[in-house]
Amino acid sequence: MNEINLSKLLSGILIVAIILVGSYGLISIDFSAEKFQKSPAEIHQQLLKNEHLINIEDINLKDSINEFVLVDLRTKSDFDKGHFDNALHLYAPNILDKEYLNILKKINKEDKSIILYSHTPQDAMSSWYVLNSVGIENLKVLNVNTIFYNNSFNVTPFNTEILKTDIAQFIKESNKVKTVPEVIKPIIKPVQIVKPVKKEKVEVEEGGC
Amino acid sequence: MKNKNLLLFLVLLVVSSVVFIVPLLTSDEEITPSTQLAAFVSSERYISSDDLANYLVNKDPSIVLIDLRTEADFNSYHIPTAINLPFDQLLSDENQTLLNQQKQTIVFYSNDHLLADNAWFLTNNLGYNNIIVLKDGLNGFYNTILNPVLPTELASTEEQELYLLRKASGIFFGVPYNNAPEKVIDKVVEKPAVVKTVEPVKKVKVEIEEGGC
Repeated sequence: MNEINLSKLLSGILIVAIILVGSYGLISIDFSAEKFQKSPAEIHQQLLKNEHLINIEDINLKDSINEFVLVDLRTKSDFDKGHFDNALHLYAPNILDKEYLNILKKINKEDKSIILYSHTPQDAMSSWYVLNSVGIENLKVLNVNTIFYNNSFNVTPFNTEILKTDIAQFIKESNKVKTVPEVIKPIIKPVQIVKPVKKEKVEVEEGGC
Repeated sequence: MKNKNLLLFLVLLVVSSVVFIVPLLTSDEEITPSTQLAAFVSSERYISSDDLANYLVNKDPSIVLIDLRTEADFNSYHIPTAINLPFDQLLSDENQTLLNQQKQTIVFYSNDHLLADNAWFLTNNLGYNNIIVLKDGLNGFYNTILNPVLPTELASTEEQELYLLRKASGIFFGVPYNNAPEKVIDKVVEKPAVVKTVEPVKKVKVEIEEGGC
């Protein structure tokens, strides 16, 4: 084999190796993965405006189809037990699935709000954050607790970030010196007066043997 | 011709190198929306009130407690040793050194855990991975440590012991142990004696009939 053929062979091997390495790299890149569209600073500003929560009294549930879409983030079994009328079920851990995102993007195009709910607003907030960060717009979290009991789907408004007890006052009251009255347990020693029993004389009648 | 081949070779080399290196640079630790979602739906970020109280009572130096509420709320009451970092100042530059460090574990808390969760999402998004959240916030801490519910008589020994432990922890946080039994003093009191009269029993006369034997 002359030098020219050898160099051609080596070049060929090298080019094939480069193509293989490049192909591997291309396969490794996940082009379909969602990317962050908003920075933490932008989301922080959104949260400070406090517009991400919506109270149940502020929405007209009867007109839900035209204005907004309610999204139930709970498990399928929870959803099947009970849910808001016309609610869409998108399970929270799968919220970034392509199929789900396409549905949400379509709702965005229709210029409707997307109202997320779960067992608590806290549970729904994680989905709000992730969806918001990948560019889904008009997202709100419904400020309610939902629970299934007595064979019905029950919804109660939730007061977020309210301190339920004045803890400072509680500690102050607890530290007040308690004037515990002495509980006197009397031990009564009754005096027993025994009146002497007067023995009556037995009068023996005279006579007899 | 030779130059063209060389050029083509170099172009291929550069392109393949870039394509090969890019995925390697995006390591598993890089935060993507998917990794973030997995972390968000997990409850691993939470610490219970009992565990936090245990750390604080033992004065564990590895814990930094951060109160995310407003300054007014913080001044009204805060868990002892907590630092106030209002949520609106969370991402300011001067706080990043404190939040982004590996030496200590940072515990966020608020009244419930919604605000603390939001702070955790933001800092997790920035790549800070040494932060946890107090489950149920101050409301939960009050119900668990400061004013625990007295277990019923039918409660298990573990529940009874947990209650006593919580009451003991409460002392550290300023709540006295006020469920001690009342002091009972034995005292002999002179009371008017009850007179017990014993009525004499009248003996029935035995009438001896007259007569002889």
